[in-house]
Amino acid sequence: MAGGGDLLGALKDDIFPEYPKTIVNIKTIPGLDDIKLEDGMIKIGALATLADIARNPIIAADAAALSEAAGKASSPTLRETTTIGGNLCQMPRCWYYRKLNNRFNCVRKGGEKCFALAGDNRYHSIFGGMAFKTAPNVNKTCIAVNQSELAPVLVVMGAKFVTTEREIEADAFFSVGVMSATVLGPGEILTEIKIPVGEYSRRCRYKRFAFRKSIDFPIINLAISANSDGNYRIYLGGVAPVPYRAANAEALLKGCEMSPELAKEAGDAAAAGARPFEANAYKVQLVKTLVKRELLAM
Amino acid sequence: MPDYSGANGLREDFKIVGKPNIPGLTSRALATGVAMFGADFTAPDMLYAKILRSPYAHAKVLSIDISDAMAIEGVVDVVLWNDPVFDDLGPLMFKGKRPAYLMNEAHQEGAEVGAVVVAESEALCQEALLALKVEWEVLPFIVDIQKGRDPDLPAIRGPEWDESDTYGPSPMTAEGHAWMATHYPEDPRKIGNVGWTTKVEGNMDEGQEQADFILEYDVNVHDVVSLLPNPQASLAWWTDSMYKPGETLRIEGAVGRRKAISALYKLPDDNVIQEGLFQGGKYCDWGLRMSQEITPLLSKRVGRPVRCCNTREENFDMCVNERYAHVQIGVTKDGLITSVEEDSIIDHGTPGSSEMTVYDRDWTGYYTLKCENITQRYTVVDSNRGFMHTCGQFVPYGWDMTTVGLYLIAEKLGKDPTDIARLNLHGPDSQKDTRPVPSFEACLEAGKKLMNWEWHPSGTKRLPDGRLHGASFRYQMCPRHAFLPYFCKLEYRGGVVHFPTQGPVAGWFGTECFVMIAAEELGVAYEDICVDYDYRAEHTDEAGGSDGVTGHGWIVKECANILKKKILESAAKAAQLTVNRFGPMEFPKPDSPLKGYGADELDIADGNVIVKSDPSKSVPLAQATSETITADYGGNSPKSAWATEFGRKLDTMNTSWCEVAVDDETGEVEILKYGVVADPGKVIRRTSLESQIDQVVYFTQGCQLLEEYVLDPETGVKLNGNMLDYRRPTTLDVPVVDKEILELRSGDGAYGASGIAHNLANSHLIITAIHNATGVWVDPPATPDRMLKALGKC
Repeated sequence: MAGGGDLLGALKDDIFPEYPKTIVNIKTIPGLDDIKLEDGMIKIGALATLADIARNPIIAADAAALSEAAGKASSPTLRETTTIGGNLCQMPRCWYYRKLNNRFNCVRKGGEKCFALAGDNRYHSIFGGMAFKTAPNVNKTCIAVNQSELAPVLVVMGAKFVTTEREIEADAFFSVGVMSATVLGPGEILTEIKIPVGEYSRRCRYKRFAFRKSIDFPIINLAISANSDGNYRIYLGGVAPVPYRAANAEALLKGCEMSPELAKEAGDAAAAGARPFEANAYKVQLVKTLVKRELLAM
Repeated sequence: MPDYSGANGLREDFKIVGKPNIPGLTSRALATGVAMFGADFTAPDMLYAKILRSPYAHAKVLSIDISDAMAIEGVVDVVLWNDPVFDDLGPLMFKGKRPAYLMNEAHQEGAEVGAVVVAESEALCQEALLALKVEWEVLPFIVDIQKGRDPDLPAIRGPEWDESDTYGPSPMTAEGHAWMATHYPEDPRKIGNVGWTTKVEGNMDEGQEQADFILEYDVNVHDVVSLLPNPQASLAWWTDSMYKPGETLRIEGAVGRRKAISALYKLPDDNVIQEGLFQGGKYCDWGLRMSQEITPLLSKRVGRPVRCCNTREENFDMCVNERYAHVQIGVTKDGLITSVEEDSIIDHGTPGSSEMTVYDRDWTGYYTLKCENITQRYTVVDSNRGFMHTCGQFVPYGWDMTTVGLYLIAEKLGKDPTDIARLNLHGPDSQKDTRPVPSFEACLEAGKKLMNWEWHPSGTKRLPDGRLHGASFRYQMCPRHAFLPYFCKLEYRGGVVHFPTQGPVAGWFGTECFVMIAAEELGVAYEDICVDYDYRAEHTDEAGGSDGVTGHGWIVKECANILKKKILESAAKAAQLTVNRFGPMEFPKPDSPLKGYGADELDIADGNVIVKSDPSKSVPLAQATSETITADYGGNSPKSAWATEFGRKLDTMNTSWCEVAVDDETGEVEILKYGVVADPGKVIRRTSLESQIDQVVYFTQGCQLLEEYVLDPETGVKLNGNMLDYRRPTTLDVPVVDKEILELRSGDGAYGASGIAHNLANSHLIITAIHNATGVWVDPPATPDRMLKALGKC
């Protein structure tokens, strides 16, 4: 446990099938909260707090969208303790998964079903579920969404995630598994995030949409970056089990001059393929609108 | 009616009453953390208790094997529902008739059921609960009250919850109005999960014949939670008292309910000690939770202090219950309402829930209208949604049905809703009175100025940033409850006026108001009155709600004047003395400046006893008499128009105004301006009054834009019982409320004051402004998902 933003509440609410026998404190590992510019990369230790990131001048200068995202996450108090590593590795906020005393032993905990499929799924995925193994030869699907505040920004910036065992491209880092929201293996720890400084980090916009101005996890968040050749990267959070790449929109925009009509088309393209439930169909409209507006604001 | 009958009710000169920034007596304790709430108390050798909670919306505990739990080291006791220890308990407060104190049937997810564990720590309690082998029988449940009307559904309340005796004549006010009714004798008997009640007044046929058109609309309201900010907790132990014969119970945490505890444990009140004062803010929620009641029972069994504290999730009690109203109003071409017909489906909650605003149909907004032809038909559905203690503070009264109706008439006729309201509002004395209500007129005009009011039809105005603009207006009475008889005692002792009160401190600063009134009447400074917090004092800060403070304040005012009279009589007598006596000894006494004057020629001002005709002749109060003088006064304050006529008489009024911007592409609603012009009659403590307005707008905004109680349709389990998923507005979300306070002195409490708060709370002011912006209705809370759906965007 580092900042405890995700795990502490989960433990207090006793949401897991088994309470962990041991919890290892990694918060105090020296050097893992550094933020530095080195070799054309912004390097952020996994233990850097969201508040540190939000007010860091190096990040503000070359990756301002990340500062913005970190500064809007959670609440002022929690930003001082919660870490970038925790924000990226956090488990879903699905209210079935989070219901106390493991009331719903869902597939993400190795259970038999995703309760949101037939239940109240207003905050769940509009791009379908993600299948994963809960046991050998047993595949299950979860429709909970990834609501990491920082994930979309880091993906569009082309970040790389360094672990105790390897380096992973940001867009390959997120996954769905039993008690897992990443590709990290057992015992593997995220140690550093490296952001190449360049057009994608500097020409980047971040937008979060939440019901309240503080505390809330984003219902939808998105990041868009572009280079001078007209190549766009668009990723959305809160709409799928992992950060969702709006590839259709990216393709549509490639090399084109922005206009209100094109922005609208791109927004529509970003939502193409959505398969919402009745209760979360509003997210489709939000995707269209937010992508359109952010493109026009770039 | 102004305060004619009481002492100095028409006083013009106020030195203390109405002043802003009078310090709160307990503010420092609250701000520094010195204040202790129920959860803060500890005792040496204390044990902890936790109650088993149902994971099902409706289930019965068939059996519990406690052997594994009892085998855990540190687990001291497990008490099951069928233990005879519960048979000895006395009556319960605000929980209806329960078949047993701790039942083996849970009627909502999270309900206390079946067993209580006692252990050396809370963690061990939790472990013990998990180790209980509970055999559950899962039962049918209803969390959708629309579907719950289905006659084929099995009854979710057993015969032990027989409600047939509630079909009786309802209590009547002195004016002959029924109130607090559950059923009427003529109402059809309940079938399955559904009860009905109907009230018809006036001549509906005539009303509908007079109408030029009928407007039909729905006002749907969801339930919101109490969410008391402090965890409900208690700590109790039994002692041998030096002072009281028999057993003495010490209990902390059941603040303000010492007598309820003494009744439950069949003890004389004097044998229950409770020194804690603080219970945190609460809004018309008077019920104790089991965690506040059960610790004495457990402590007696284990012979050690026992503490029991609810978790945050366990604090998510239902506060306002769901209601779906369909209203038809007959309206003339000028906009005058001639008939009102309402059909509502209302959540009855779980068994034992308060029926205060479920069946009774009298506290509605309709009685502020000239129209006397009113039919209200209620269909009341049992559910497993939640237990409602004693709340239902605004929505079920139906005040918002009138707001929406007046707005719709204005929309249809192309008129300003304030004009439609003025046309339909009856006069001060009755529904037949056609005179204007001065307080309403003053609030209306001030409100228009405050808001720069310019009405526009729905969907016709866009702001420069492209969002849609909407505005709305609402009026109601500034109410005063004044149901209760109140009691006040003041004591002049050692040169100081003492004001003994038991508190509790629940957030409305009533004691401060009472001290201000007493100081004003006694002619002393606010700081010169010593408040003695004492749980044994008869006076309580509770006053039938915060707006009851002004009725209670009226009693304090009378009491202060009695004390003052006695002090002056004593001072006049003391002034005649020529010697001071100490036992057998006598010492010459210099002439008092008051010598030769009778009590009626004296007064108290600025802490001095003065000669009225020559104020230069004065003696400090503390030196004017050395006697100990007490005064007490009890009884009912003058009749409250609101609490006896429910709107058929109008004295103090308020208006609320709201402007919103709606982003029709994202469904976001922003409150641009929220204005309140209130005439509470007379301001007692301005800081409290303004804070109450802020609080009620906070409540109102939460209810209309964010808050919602989400139950899983498949299991009936509450999904958002936490501060993250149950969205109360944060400080960044709450708009600044523009306020203007008028003082027309026409209320019936102290100095012509009435109250504030309750009737400012509403479910549809913002919703109406949203309609004005967009032309569509959305059921609250108007979250972006609902907005986009209403706008046809998804």
